[in-house]
Amino acid sequence: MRGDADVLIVGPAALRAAVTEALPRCRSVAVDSLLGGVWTAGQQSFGGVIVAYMAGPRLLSALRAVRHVAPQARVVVAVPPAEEPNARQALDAGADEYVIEPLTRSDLEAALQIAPQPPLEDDTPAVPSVEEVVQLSDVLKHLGEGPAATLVRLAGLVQSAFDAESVAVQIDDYSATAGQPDQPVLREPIRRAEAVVGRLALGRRRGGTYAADDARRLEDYARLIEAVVAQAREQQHWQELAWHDDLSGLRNRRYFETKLDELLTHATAERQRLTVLLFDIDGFKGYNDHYGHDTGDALIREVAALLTRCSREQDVVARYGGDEFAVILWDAEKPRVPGSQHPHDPIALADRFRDAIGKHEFKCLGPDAPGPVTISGGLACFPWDGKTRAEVMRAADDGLLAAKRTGKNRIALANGGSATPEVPPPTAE
Amino acid sequence: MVAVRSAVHLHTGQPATANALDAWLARHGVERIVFDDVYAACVHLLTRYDHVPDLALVGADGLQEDEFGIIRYLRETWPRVGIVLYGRAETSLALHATPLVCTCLTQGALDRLLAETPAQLLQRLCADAAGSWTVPSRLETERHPEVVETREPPPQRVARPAPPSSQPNPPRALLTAEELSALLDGPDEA
Repeated sequence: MRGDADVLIVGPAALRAAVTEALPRCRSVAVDSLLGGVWTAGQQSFGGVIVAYMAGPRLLSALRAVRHVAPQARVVVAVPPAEEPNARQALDAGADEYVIEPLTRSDLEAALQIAPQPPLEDDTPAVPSVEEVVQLSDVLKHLGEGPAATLVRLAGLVQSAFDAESVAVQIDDYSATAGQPDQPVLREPIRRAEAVVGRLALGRRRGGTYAADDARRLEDYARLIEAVVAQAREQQHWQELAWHDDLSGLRNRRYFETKLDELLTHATAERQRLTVLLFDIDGFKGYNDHYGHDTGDALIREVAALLTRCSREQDVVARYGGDEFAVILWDAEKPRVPGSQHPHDPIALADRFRDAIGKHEFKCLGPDAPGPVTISGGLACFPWDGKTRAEVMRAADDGLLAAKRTGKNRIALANGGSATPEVPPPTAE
Repeated sequence: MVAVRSAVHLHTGQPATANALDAWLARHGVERIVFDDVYAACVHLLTRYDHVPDLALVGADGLQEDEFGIIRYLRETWPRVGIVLYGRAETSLALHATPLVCTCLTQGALDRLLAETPAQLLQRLCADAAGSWTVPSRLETERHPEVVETREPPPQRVARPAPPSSQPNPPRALLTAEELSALLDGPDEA
């Protein structure tokens, strides 16, 4: 069917509006009733007939009749999603295809077998504007923020490119909007290969209507979004691998240091506190020597799992190296005020974790474990114990060493204080 | 006297009434083409428009509101066919006033119809229409009112042939009594 063919629309005004919007090139004739549709289909020549779905035998009779009087036409039934299971009957009655509402240009083009058309001649530039290129480069620059953040930026880009009051975009499990969500005016599916993996919808255009070629541009943007989000996802995948510690399943030291730099910058700007807990497993070498390295690895994995369980969502938990673990406890405190003291919540969290380790029954050690597994750690707090990553980590390490020196199984503050009452250290050896 | 040789019958009413009317037509030797719904009838109108019947019987009780348009299409395709609309359904008053349409919406009216011969019925319809038969302009000359064209209308697919020789003249705005008599005295007379 030609892209500018005559199309007969049989159904309510909403269907008429959706079809004319999706197929602006087609000349359309609209009829409200099924009988009127059959009559009109037999009176004139149409390349396509689009019929609103209706439950019951009337639709099927009408489709059979349309098939008879307009054998050359592509007959397509517009079906609400809930009625899709019944759409097969329409095909049996003579319809060539059905499309699920809400209708999109590409769905209709595919159903009507409309041949691809050359772009319309209008005032729309064939190449993106400078603003669009600048915005796109900004999106690409921030791919590392991940697919979700990338999609937010892309929604803003589309809103700007089409001067739309609102944009809603969804792809896979991600969705984003720009502007106040509104009734969509233009819609385009986002495809990967042949499968529809999302949707892009524009609200009204600011102070005007969309040009005829905007539907084609939107299709281009749908492809762009799929490609950019795929790139962001891939970049995130490789980034995850680069930041992942295979043994423990936690973040690794590279990630920890990157994140600590970022959070220190944020904390400085926002006058917030930030605490680092650095700890290791007491007598870990003994476990390795006594039980073997496999058990040592399993011990690290169990400690990592416990640590993850005990930490809050925003905390950054990492394996710092060997049997050393590091945690950034942040956003646990309100912004500093003059005279504020060392934060107590991180201390409580650190002690809670130490208690959890001490009470945990490590399966990897079996029933003959020499005693509870314990940890020793140091806590350092920005800005009191250091203002840079190196200073803060050095202070936390000092705390850790102090905890070791003073009997293990305790959390020591960087400034020499102790967060934990002294307890006898276990002996694994 | 007119002769009634063929009829189309839309079985879109009460089956008992439809069967009674079929028997009535058969009793008087009238050939019938039967349709189960308006869509099949519409296909017939569009594809076999040159097979002009003398009567068209339409059951009203099984018609949806928007399916009463079949009366308009019958009239548009065969301007001089006698149409019998039967049943107990509420129908538009405009249908009652449409020339050459007999509405049998009560048992009494149906009984009176069955007491006549098809030829008598058609003659009565023609006589009723003779004094005031104005072909409704919306049926004959205007486009279908419910069609909304969003662009310029597409060209007509085919040129419809002129009505068959038994109805050689296109409908006019007014048929005089003399013209009607001349028409009724034509070769179809029994």
